[in-house]
Amino acid sequence: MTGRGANQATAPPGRMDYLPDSRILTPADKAERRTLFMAFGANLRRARLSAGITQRDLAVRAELSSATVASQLEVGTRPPNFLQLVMLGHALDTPHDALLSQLPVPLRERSTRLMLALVRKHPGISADELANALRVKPSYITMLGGRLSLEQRVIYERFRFWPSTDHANEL
Amino acid sequence: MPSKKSSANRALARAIRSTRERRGYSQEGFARHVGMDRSYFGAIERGEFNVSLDTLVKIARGLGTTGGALCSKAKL
Repeated sequence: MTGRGANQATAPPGRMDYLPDSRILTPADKAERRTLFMAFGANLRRARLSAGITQRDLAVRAELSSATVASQLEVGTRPPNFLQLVMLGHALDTPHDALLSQLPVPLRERSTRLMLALVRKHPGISADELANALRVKPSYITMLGGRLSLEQRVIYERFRFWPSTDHANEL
Repeated sequence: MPSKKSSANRALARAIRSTRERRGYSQEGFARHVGMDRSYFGAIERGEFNVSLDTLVKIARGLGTTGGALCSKAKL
């Protein structure tokens, strides 16, 4: 495996119909990704220091293209892909669980879960009430509600939300 | 070594697929559950993508498990 090859998230040849996440994410989503990568970076740094090796050593062992890549992974400016994760685990002789432990739950995932629970408990709840309960801006509820409505997980009419009978079990 | 790369991706793909099936999700249903394009998720399950950390975490959470557990299941 070459380091350069493992540094890029790869798409199969001729399959360009998938938009990379970075081009469709909102600024809030991007911030959450960054938080996730920083948490991973902290785990990586901890594991590297425990192993008593430098970033340069790690880059060689994990077949990263340079020590800079190891540095970027540790500060969270570069997201690791799956193959890098595998190589890093082997290079540090560390279980993958250690590298992936205590990663933050994204705001959208938390908000979605809470919002679905509230809609089920209070059918007809307003966007403003949801925003207050979730401590987010009403515009965030509108965005999230629009997505859940498109997925037919809630019914959204006149700024109020009802549980969808199709997805009653997951609410 | 492309074969080594693709075998790791395939091993992860098998772990994802078997966990998804055990949870009773269809491929389409699970993709919708985690807010992912169905065809993209299908390609992941065929081992065609070297997924990024956030995608791995998203799939693991959707399956009610962790990224580390999926890696363990894939025997990597």
